[in-house]
Amino acid sequence: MLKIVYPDARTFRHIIEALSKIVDEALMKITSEGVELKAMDPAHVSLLHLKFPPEAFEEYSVEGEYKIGFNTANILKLLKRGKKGDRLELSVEEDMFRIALIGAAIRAYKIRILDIPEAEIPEATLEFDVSASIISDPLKNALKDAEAVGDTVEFSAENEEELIIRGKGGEMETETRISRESGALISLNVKNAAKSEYSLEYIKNVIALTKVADTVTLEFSNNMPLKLDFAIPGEGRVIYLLAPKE
Amino acid sequence: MTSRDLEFSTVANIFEKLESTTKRTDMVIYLIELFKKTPATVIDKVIYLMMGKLYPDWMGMPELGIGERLLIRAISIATGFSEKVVEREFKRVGDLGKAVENLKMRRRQTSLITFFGTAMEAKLTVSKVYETLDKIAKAQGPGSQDLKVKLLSGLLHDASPKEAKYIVRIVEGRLRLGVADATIMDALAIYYGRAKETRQIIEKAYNITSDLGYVAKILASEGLDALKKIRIQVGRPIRPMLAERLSSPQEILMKTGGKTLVECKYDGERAQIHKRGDEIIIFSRRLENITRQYPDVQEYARKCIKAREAIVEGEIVAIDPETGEFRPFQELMHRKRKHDIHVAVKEYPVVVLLFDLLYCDGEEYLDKPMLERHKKLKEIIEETENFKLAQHIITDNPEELEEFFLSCVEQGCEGVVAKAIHSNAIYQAGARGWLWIKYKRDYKSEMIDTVDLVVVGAFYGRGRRAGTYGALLAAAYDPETDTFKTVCKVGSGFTDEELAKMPEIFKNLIIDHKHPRVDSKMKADVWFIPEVVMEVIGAEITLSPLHTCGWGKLKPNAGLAIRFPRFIRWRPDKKPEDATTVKEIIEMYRKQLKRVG
Repeated sequence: MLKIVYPDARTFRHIIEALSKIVDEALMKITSEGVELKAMDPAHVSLLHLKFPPEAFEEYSVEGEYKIGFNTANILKLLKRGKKGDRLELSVEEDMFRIALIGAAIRAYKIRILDIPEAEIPEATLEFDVSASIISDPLKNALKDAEAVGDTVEFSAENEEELIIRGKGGEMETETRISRESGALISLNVKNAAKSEYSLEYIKNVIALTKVADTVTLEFSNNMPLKLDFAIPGEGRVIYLLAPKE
Repeated sequence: MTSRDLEFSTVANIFEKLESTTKRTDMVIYLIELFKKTPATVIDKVIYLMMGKLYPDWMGMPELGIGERLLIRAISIATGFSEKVVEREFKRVGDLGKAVENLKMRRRQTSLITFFGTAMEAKLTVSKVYETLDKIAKAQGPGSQDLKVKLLSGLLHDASPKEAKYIVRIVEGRLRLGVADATIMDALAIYYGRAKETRQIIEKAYNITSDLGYVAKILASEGLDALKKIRIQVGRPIRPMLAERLSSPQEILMKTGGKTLVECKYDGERAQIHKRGDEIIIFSRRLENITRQYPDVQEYARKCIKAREAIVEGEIVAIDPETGEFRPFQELMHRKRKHDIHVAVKEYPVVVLLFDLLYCDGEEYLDKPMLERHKKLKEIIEETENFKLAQHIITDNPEELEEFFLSCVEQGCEGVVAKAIHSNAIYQAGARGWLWIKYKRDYKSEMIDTVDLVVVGAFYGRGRRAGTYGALLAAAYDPETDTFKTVCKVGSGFTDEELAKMPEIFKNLIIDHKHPRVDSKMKADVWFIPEVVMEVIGAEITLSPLHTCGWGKLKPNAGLAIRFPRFIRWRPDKKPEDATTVKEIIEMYRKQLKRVG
C-alpha cells in the first residue's frame, strides 16, 4: 500500500527539473522511513541526493518498500502541468504509478514503472574546511554571472567574514562577495582558508533548486568536492555533490 | 584488475610508439613488447582495437555511429569544458583526439569516485574499453544517441589524456597506426614460436578465417597445434587470391608454363559465395558482406549449386535486360544505393560467372590444382543463363589467347586472366602471385560524338521484343572500297514505339543473303539492303575480332567496335554514303585513346 501527499507540487517540479539534467532515468525508494533518491551522472562528476522524511508530507501511508523507476523527462513534463498551490499525490497500482495534481480539480496521470537497476552509490563521508550558510538567491545570481563569462566557478573563503564566488575560464571574470554585512551570509565557518574550482557545465544543473530552498549550505575544501545542501521548506533536503576541476 | 586483463594505458603507450615510426622492424619490436604483456583472454580485443575496429568487417556488425557533434558533446561532458571550448581546441589542433588529450591535460575534471574511497575507482582496461565501445555500437533506436554519449563520456572521463586521445581516434575511425596485417603476423610468429614455420601456419589460418583477432586468440590460448587444426568454415570468408599483371600473351604463357586456362575477366564485382543448406552468404573482394544487395544471386546460388555446403568464387556482372549484353561495373553501384533492393534487382539485373571452387561438402580445395577445382566446380554447378561458369579456353597458343582476349574486350570485359594449370597451381589465398596473371587492355578510347551508321542487318528479338528486331547490325562506310563495314549491334535506346515500327521500316529492304557491298564477319538473322541511316552514340570504341570496320589497320586480326551503342534517331535525310566513314572512326579511336589501369 502506498499513498503519499506532498503539499507543494511545484517544489517537486523544480527538484525533478534539476534531476532531469543529471540523469535520464532515476529510481525513487519509498519506505516507511521516507522518500529517497540518489542519482549520479554518467561521468561520475556529480551526485544528487533527495531525502524526504514522512513528516515532510501531508499524508504518508506506506507499507513495505517501493522502488519506482521513472524517466525524468517524462515526469517533468507532467509536473509542468501543475498550477501554483497544487498538491501532489503519489500512489501505486500494480506496475503503474499514479501522480495526481490536486488543485481546483484533481488531474491524475498513470505511468508505467520502469525496471531500473539500483546503482551502487557509496555514501560520502567528507570533511570540509569551509562551511557557509547563505541565502540562495545571491548564489543563483553569482552562478548566472559566472555562466555569462566562462566555464568555471571558483569558491573561496580566507576568513569567516566573506565568501567569494568567481566566474572564470573565458576572456572575462566576475566576482560575487557574500558577507555578513551584505546580509546574505547566515553563517561561515572556516577551519582553513580554502579555494576550489568547479565546472559550470555541471553546477548550472542545480540552479533550479535555488527556487525551492530559501537557504543553502555550501561546503568545500581545496581541490575537494563541493557540497550544496538545499533545505526545503517544511522538511526534506536535497544534497548536491560536485567533483572539483583539478 | 586481474591477469586476465590488460591496462589500457599499456596499449596506449604502444600505440604511441607505433605511431612514431614507419619502419616495419621497429613495429614488430613494439608489437612483441605488447604481446608479452597481453593475456591470451584479451589478445583478440587488443588486435581489433589496434586496427581501429571491434570486429572484422565481414561480420557486418553495427558501427560505433558517433558523429563529430556527439563526440564533441561527450568530450565536453567528460572534460568539464563547454562544447565551445572543445570546438575551439579542435579547430586549433585540427584533430579531436589531440584536442581531448590537450583538454584533459589542461585541467582535469575529477570524478566523485576519487573522493568516495577506492571501491569504484579502477584503471581502464582493454576489456572495459572494448566492451564499452561495443555497447556504444550496439545501442540502436530511439534514445540511443544519448546512451552512446553517456557511455563514451564515462569512458573518456576515466581515461588518461593519452588514453582518451586513442579512444577518440578509434571512435572517429581515424586510428591510423600504419600497422599492416603482415606486421602483426610477424610479431605473433616471433613471440609465439619458431618464427618461420609459425609464420606460415598463422598466415594460413588468417587466410581461411579472415580474422586476425581470432587467430591470435587461438594461438595465444591453445597453441600452434590448435591453429593448425583450423578449417575452412562456411560463413567465414577466405582471403581472395590475387593476380599479377603482364601485357603480352607470349610472356604470360611462359610464366604460367605452357598450357594455360584463360578466363574472361568481367567488369563486375568479385564475389565469394558461401552456401550452407539453403543459407547463402556473399562476400565482396574486400570481404564485406554484400548478401543483402543480391537477393537474385542468393536465389540462383541456392538453386544451381548442387552441394549441401560450398564456397565458390565468381564475378557478378550487370546485364542489359533487353539485349542480354554486359553493362559496365558502375551499373552495379545502383544496388548499393537503392533502398528498395527489389526494385534495383528488376532495374539492374545481374548474371554470375563462376571461376573457382574453394570448398565443397567437408573438403577443402585450396591446395588442389586449378583444373581439379575447375572440374569440381563444373560438376556441382547446374548452369543456367544467369549462373554459369566464366567463358574460358585452355590454350598454349599466343594467337589464340590474343583472339580470346579481343573477343572478351569486345564484349565489354576488362581482358582475361590466365591461370596456371600445372600440379602446383593451388589457390594462394590472400596472396598475389604468378599463378594467376591478368592481361588487361591498356588503352581505352571514350566516345564523345555521335556517328551515323548504316543498318545492314538485324537479329530477332527475344522476350519482350519477340516479333520485332532485338538489335540492328550497323556499319560505317568505306569510300575506298565502296563497302559498308560493321562496327556494332545496336539494341538500346529504342522506344517501344520505334521497336514496334521497325519491321515496317525494313520490310522492303530484306534480302535473303548478305548484300555484296556489306563486309561482315558476323552472321545476321536477316540481311538488309544498306539504305537506312541512324544516329548512334556509344561509351567507347574498342578493338574487336568480330567487326570489320578498320580491320587490320590498328592491330592484325582486329577491327573496331562501338561499345554500349545507343540509338539516338533515324536520319532519313542521309544517304548510306553520307554515313560516318571507317577512316573517321579510326580517327575517333586514336584521338580519344587514353591509358587505363
